[in-house]
Amino acid sequence: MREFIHAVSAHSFLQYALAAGLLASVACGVVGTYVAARRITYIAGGIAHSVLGGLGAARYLQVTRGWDWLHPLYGAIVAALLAAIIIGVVSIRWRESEDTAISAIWAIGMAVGVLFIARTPGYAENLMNYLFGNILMVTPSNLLLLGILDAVVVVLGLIFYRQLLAISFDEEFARLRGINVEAFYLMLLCMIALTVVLLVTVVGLIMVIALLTLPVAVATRFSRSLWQVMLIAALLIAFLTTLGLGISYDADLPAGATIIVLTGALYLLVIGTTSVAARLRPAGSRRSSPEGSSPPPAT
Amino acid sequence: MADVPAVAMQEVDFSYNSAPVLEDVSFTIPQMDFAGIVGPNGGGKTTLLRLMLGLLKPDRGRVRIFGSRPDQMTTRVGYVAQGFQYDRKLPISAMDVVMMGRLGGTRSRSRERALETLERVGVAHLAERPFADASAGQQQRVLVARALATDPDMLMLDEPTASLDAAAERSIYALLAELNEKMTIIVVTHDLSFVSQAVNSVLCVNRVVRRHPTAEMSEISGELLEEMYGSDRRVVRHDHDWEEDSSGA
Repeated sequence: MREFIHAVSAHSFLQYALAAGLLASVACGVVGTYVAARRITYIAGGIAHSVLGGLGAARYLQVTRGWDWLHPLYGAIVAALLAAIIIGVVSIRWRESEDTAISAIWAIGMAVGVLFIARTPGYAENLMNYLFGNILMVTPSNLLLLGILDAVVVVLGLIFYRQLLAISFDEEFARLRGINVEAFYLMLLCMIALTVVLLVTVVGLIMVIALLTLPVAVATRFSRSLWQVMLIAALLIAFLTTLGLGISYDADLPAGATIIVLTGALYLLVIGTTSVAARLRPAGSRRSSPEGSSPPPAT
Repeated sequence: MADVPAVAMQEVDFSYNSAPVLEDVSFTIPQMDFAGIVGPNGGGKTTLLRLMLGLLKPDRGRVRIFGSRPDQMTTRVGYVAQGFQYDRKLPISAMDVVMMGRLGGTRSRSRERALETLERVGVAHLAERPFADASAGQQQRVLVARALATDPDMLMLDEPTASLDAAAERSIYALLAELNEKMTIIVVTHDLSFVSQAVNSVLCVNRVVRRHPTAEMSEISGELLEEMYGSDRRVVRHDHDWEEDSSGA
């Protein structure tokens, strides 16, 4: 680890990688919490995989047309937002077709990406970077883009905390309070889309879902409110990406996979120990008061 | 404004996918009334409530809440839904739940106001505890507090005591009677014994709707029961079984 810390001060590409991981962790903590609260992990998975279509198309145009400015990340943003809006509209209009729509977007997005990559002249190693991430490839201009995405997602997530919490807990009541439930749902899906793009850079699109769900599941065990979940999850993700980057650098392993294995290990450890602890706790010490013993209403 | 009825329905029809649920429903509920809605399962009680809330639109006829369309009056109505389902893993305190009542419009975000309503329903001590850890009766009170936090002129509750024991049920109805001093209250229930004691008027719902002031109830209750349940064989047979069981015990 000391070797890694020394290397970070020497190599700017490691500094960019570290910064990308930290940026992604903030958005991932906030949005992952809402994904768990609304139980839309499958939608997040669909959006994540469909991103390959955008990455592949942008890369294809970049190479064949010589559009150097068209970084694959722009393609990813367009594809992710498009997937989010299609899934969102289908789920609002035709709820019973939601699963079908997600599956379609998931697979068709990947297929389109594979076709574009096959037609792109040159090495296909880019495909592996998209699928499994290559955080060491982050450039300063990427970092600026990731920073903007991060800011958009986190600001929206915090400004509309009360509305998003209300909708997650009780959609009907939120609607009766005059909250535009559909608009907020679409907004949340677009926030997921942007977060996915951030995470694709760090761990690749296949493993996005682990970083979006597992740290939040751990944080939920230690939290009494949604904002605590967000805070703890973001700190955990920051810790995991930094540690994963360090270990992968020292051991010469792929960074994305190292981060995910660490995340999975932490999840299993915490869920395992808290479950055992709950079983060992004497039955009488559960906090809750008996039914009907509440004091009379104050007058 | 006080002479505008809290609820007015005129010749309302409603059906789900062409299966009629309510037919030619007309009634009014005056302000400050304490009204019970009774009737057999599937008779349209909840549908009636959802029409009043503007969550459903009638096929025909007019629904008015304080003289306006229901969807324009949602800020004046507090609602406690039936058999409320939520994600038990969601970390949320009773206070967070009540604060949802302060959403929308120009309501202040003050936690004091939310705490007041928790005190009003007698569960202020639970404010910072996880909602999922409270008992069913306590959760019901928190949900009533959330409805009260909207500063409503009318409170609508759908089977508020369905999952509660008798003591918790009595205390919820005592609370509603108190709240009735300041607002109109409409309660869906299938508990006829409670209805005659607590409320001022009864809406009997079984595809058609009849409104009876409870002052007349003692005279017409037998007739009322027959009117509401007489044609419903399942309910009649169920009553009969119960009598046999109790005599055999």
